[in-house]
Amino acid sequence: MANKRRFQFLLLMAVFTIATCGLIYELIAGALASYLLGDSVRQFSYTIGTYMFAMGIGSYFSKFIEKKLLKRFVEIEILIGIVGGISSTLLFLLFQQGSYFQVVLYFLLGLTGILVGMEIPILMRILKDKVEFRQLVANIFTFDYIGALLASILFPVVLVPKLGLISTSIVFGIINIVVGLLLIYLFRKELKDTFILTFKSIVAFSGLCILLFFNKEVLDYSERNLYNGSIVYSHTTPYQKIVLTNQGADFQLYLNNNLQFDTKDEYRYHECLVHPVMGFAASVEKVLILGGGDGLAAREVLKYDEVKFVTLVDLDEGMTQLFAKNPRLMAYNKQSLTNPKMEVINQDAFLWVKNNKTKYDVVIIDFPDPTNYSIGKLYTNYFYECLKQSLKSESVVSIQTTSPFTAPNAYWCINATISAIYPEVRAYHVYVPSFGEWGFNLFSNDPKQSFRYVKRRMDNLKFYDYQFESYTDFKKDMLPASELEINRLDNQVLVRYFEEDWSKLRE
Amino acid sequence: MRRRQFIRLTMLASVGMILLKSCRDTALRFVLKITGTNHLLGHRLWTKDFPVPTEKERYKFVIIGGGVSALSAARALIKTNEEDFVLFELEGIAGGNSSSGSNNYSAYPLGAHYVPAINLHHKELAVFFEEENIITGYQDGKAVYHPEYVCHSPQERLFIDYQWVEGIEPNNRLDDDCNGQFLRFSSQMKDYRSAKGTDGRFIFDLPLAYSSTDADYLTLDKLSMKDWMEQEEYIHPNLLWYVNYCCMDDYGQGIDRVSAWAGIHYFTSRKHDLYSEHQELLTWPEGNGFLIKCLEKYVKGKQFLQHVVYNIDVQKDKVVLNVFDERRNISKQIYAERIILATPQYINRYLLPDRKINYGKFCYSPWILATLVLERFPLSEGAELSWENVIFQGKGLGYIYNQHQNLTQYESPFVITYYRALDGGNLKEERKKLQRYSDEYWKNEVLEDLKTVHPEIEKYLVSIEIFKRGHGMISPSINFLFSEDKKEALKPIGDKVFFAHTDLSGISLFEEAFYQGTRAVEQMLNDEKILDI
Ligand SMILES: Cc1cc2nc3c(=O)[nH]c(=O)nc-3n(C[C@H](O)[C@H](O)[C@H](O)COP(=O)(O)OP(=O)(O)OC[C@H]3O[C@@H](n4cnc5c(N)ncnc54)[C@H](O)[C@@H]3O)c2cc1C
Repeated sequence: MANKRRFQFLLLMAVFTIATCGLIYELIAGALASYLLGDSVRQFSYTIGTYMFAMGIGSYFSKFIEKKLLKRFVEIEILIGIVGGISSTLLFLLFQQGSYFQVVLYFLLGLTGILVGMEIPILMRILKDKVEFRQLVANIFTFDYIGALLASILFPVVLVPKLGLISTSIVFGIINIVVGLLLIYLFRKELKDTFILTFKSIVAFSGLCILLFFNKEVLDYSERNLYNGSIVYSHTTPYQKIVLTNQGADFQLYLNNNLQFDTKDEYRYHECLVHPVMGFAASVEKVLILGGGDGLAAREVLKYDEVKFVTLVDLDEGMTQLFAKNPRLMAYNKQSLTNPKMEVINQDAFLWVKNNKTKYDVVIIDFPDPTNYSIGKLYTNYFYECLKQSLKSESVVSIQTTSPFTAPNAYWCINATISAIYPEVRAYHVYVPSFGEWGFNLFSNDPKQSFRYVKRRMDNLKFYDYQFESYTDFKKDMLPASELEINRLDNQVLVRYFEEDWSKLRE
Repeated sequence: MRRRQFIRLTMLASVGMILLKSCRDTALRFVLKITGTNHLLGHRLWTKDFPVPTEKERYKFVIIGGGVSALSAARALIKTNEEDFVLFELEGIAGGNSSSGSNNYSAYPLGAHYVPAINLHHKELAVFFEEENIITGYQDGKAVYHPEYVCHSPQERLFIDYQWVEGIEPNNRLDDDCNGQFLRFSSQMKDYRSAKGTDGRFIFDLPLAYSSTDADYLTLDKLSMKDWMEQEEYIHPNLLWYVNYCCMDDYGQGIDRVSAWAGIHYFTSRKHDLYSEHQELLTWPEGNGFLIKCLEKYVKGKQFLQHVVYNIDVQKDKVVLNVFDERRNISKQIYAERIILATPQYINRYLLPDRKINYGKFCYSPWILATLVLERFPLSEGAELSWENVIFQGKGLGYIYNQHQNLTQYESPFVITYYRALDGGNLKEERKKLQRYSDEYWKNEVLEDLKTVHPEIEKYLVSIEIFKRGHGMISPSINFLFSEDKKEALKPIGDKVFFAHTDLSGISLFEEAFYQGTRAVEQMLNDEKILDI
């Protein structure tokens, strides 16, 4: 009798576990879909519906399985483990290819649903001769629902923040297979020939373990604490690590762990990077954007009908592809990267600028902050000298130049370096909540450019109001401490200033 | 797909992954390539084992060698409108000790890799640099160099006390004794830099031939740099290491072998920074191979590679050269009015066996260079990757980051070149080692030294190319620079054979090689007695 009890208990634990796993797969699919496609109410509603429906199909099909019920049950466990386990890895890999994503998502969701749907009916048939029916039904469903409750609590509180989506799905795939293995062990007598079955599950088990091991999320566990939001997507291109995180209704993009934008307030940054220069330029027919692979500056530029042609040079193809193909991100940049006026060039900006002969009316420079010596080169007097080749005599350039509050020496060093090459330079700054006080510079080779006369205005901006003078006032705490050197290739003082400024802040 | 099949497939995939992982961890396979100067062909000079000449050619002038001195001679000839000449070079590429190579990711030096800002009173060199837009202008009496060629920051770092620090002087500023000696040394060198002799010339100048001949200072050539330092009470091990490092870098030999005059010359001969500490230097991914490319335009259609001159017969009215063309495996006889021998003396002894020169005085240090391609750059503590990366008390001289001068962002793979001069007890023995020891041995020597600073370097290694130079640069050993033997070797043979190689300067530097080539042409053309054949 005691033996029978133990047996029953173990089986119910299995029910409990597989119920948890089943719901986890559903939640992962729902979360991924809403991250990628937006509109979480609709996405969750669709995924839940599809999953339930698939479970129904699974229950229906379970009746066609007549013989070797236990063996089939274990096989189903292994299959669920594999499909559920690799599903989110697969979906992450497809994240960039927005169009296939939905198809694959629903296919995997359906498959998992069908398999999970078969579990309970088959299990009930296995147990029907061993346990009294009334008790069986009650127990199985009780544990099924408790498992579901546990999953829905664990998922947002522990799993996503601690493990991340990919690892969660792999870990639960492994748990599914472990359940299978336990069953094989418990029923080794009834199953008779367990060798092949054991082998299959061990192979699947080790496969998932390896996947878990190779999975970047696990390796980068410590890094995850850097981000406030939960990581939606992470991709390492040959040049940088792109991480997209989510916090409430907003998304944040990090490049090499530096915040690039937050959808909450990026309009402030991009409006101030783009509209002042567009307003002061004599003409805006041809616009050059250096950096800015997210297409957000391009979005602002394309608001002007006058603009005929935009060239965007960004080193990282991974980045521009992501923002050109992913529907979620394309909603933010208003499909700017696929606009017919756009030409996207994936090349090193310095090399491109050195060789380019085309002249532009407006240039917008949106490079990362000078955190290392190779980025530092893009802020040298030699770079600004080479840039002249891309400018007409009256062209105007706007450039992001880090924070004058956190890094005043770096900010004014860039200003001084530009001033050594161009006669007209104006520093200005704006408050962007997620960045803090942020600085830019406008410059031109045209001595008549006074940055006073606005030649065209864009209506309906969310922030910039064309009162340019009001952005050009710097209080004492945003000025440099001492005289600054000009940033050259052979001194790279900017990187040093930047580092010093930031380490002061850390103290 | 059937379920069975599907399961089988997943099984296969998992097994595959296990295998893949184990490969990644254990194999660490990379490509090893060993090359070097063509020492076999060089050795044939000794036995004169070449085919009998079957072709004849005639030129007014012939330049032998294809290094900096030879190419500078060619430039000087073209500048004086002398077009009737050819140049023979033993190797398949020009450049000699300043040649370079390249792989899919970067160019890299196979020898010389930089030139410090030059002495503007070396006028012809300044003209050459202006022509090549290396000097773009002048400001406050100083040359302005092309920003792409001036070594970018960060220039140098030193691995000491388990981390990298900026700069290569291992000066411990907190240690009064150490700091004091470094400061005293630096200030003494500063004095020497501006010091002039009674003849109004700098005591230490570059080219060396411009230096003062005041006997007082020439005595410095009679003792080793080490002894001189001891006399002057420079005894701190860090300072001794540093000065030794500098001598190894420029002369291939340490302070116990190099003369004090030469040792001091290293720190004092460059006058552009007479009063400032700022060290401006010029470098390119391919090292001085860049300058070779600039000079090669003067030998277009006149340069014959893989051509070994193996005999020189100086006759009354002409010079007859025997030249072996390795590509076609035939020999030619060349008649010339006058020739310039821009080859080192260890070669000349076989070409001109009758010459009475004490060749034993000319010592050359053997070198190995290793160019490594790294998939990723190993992380390490302290200062960031610089152009020159030196290991305190390492076996070699450290490594150069070849892509340092690129304007682009860091890009994998990374290409570095490691340098090591073999400064054992006996140079001949060292040279033998170079040829006899196995490839595996040299690979390990290089990797062991690098592993002291980058323990996991092998993990990222894609390929390693080791280049051996049996005879690297001439060593300014004690009593060599001002010796009669050296003067004798520089003397032309009649009005026919003129000599131009850096070993005749006694120190091996681009500036010297350029000077020797230019000077030899001047000497040759100013000799009036050109006869018609
Ligand atoms: C490892 C290393 C690093 C160096 N680094 C620097 C540096 O950073 N900066 C610097 O200024 N200098 C450096 N040097 C010194 C360098 O040697 C000189 O700058 C310069 O290249 C010497 O030129 P050269 O023409 O005098 O001699 P070589 O370069 O020796 O030229 C002689 C040429 O003659 C050829 N030859 C020999 N025999 C024959 C024959 N029988 N027939 C035809 N051709 C023949 C040889 O193949 C060779 O090409 C370095 C040298 C070495 C070895």
